[in-house]
Amino acid sequence: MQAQDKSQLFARWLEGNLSADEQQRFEQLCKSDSEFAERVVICEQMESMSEAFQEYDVPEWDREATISPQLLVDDNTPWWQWPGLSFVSLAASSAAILMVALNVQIKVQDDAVVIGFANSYSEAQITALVDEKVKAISDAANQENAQMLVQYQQQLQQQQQQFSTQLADYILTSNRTERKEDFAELIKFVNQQRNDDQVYYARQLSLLEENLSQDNFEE
Amino acid sequence: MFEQSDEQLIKKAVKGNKSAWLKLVKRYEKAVFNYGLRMTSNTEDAMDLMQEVFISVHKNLATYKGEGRFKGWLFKIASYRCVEFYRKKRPMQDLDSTDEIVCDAALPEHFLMSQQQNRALVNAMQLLPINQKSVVELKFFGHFTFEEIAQQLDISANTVKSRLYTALEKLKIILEDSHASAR
Repeated sequence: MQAQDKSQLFARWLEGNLSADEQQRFEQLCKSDSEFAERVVICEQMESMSEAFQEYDVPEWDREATISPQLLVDDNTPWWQWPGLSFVSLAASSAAILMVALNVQIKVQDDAVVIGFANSYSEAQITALVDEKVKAISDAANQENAQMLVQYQQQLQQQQQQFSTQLADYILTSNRTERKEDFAELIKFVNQQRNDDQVYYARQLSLLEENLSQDNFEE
Repeated sequence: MFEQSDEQLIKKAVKGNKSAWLKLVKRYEKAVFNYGLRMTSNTEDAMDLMQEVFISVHKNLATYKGEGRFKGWLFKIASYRCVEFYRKKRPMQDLDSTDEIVCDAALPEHFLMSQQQNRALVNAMQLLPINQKSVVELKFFGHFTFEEIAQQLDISANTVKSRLYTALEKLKIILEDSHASAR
């Protein structure tokens, strides 16, 4: 067996890692190699001496002297004097500035808190979204307007029909009245004429009577 | 009551929580102190080394990424500190050579009462160069795998094995001499 193999075997024995086969080889080597066997013996002797070694108690000493002053924190320091507080406040301020700068928005949606950035869409996406919204609004408005126009047209037609009927009624009614009035006027005129004629004939007759009576008198 | 894990304590300690750090220190101080004792064989040095290790761990705690066990990361730092400690003490000495002033400051007597075996082991380890001593320490006392030791010392696993085998050869001789002289 080579020296390196012996060394490996010895190291594995020392660390208690020998397999059954290695254990057998180890024992054979102890019998056949006196130098190896002596090393094992002294090793066992050292192990037994180290196990038997009675550890000494540590004399009283200043343990606190081992503490580096820069690492020492007084346990009784109030929380507001905690050295990390300034760093925490700086971090909190920075976070607040970032949140404002990035326009962070916190929403409660569907029983969940959603944190997002307001400017998470690109310019083109925003334009497309706006266009889509405007188109939707415009379509809705057009549809509404068309319905209103139809309704308005129907109402106008109904109103026109109503007005036409009323006008026809009015015209018919007014023609009848006018005709009545014309007839009345005519009758009145004829009556007036007849009255005038009667008055004229009566006067002629009276004139004739007078003339006749005058002639009779002269005679 | 549930014990806080290393990771939980580390997180709190990184934020400046003192009590969490102290709990973490108490959890590992004995292991680091005994590591220091075995590496330096001197209580004062072990205490200094332990303090330096925990200061360094606390400073670098924020860089611990949780890859691998915290204990492994802790002992990686301990190994670096130990090498630096040696360099400070012996600036001219090579890390692969043996310490020349073995046991110049032995463990205090009260530590060694009826612990002759401890003394023998610590003394034997002091005769190893720091590089071999680190490997022995991490393998037999830290119970780390070769891969973990390699990561901690920034060397290959083969180098770890090689250093360990060399150290074992030396320890065999040292311990035999020690037994012979004891008789």
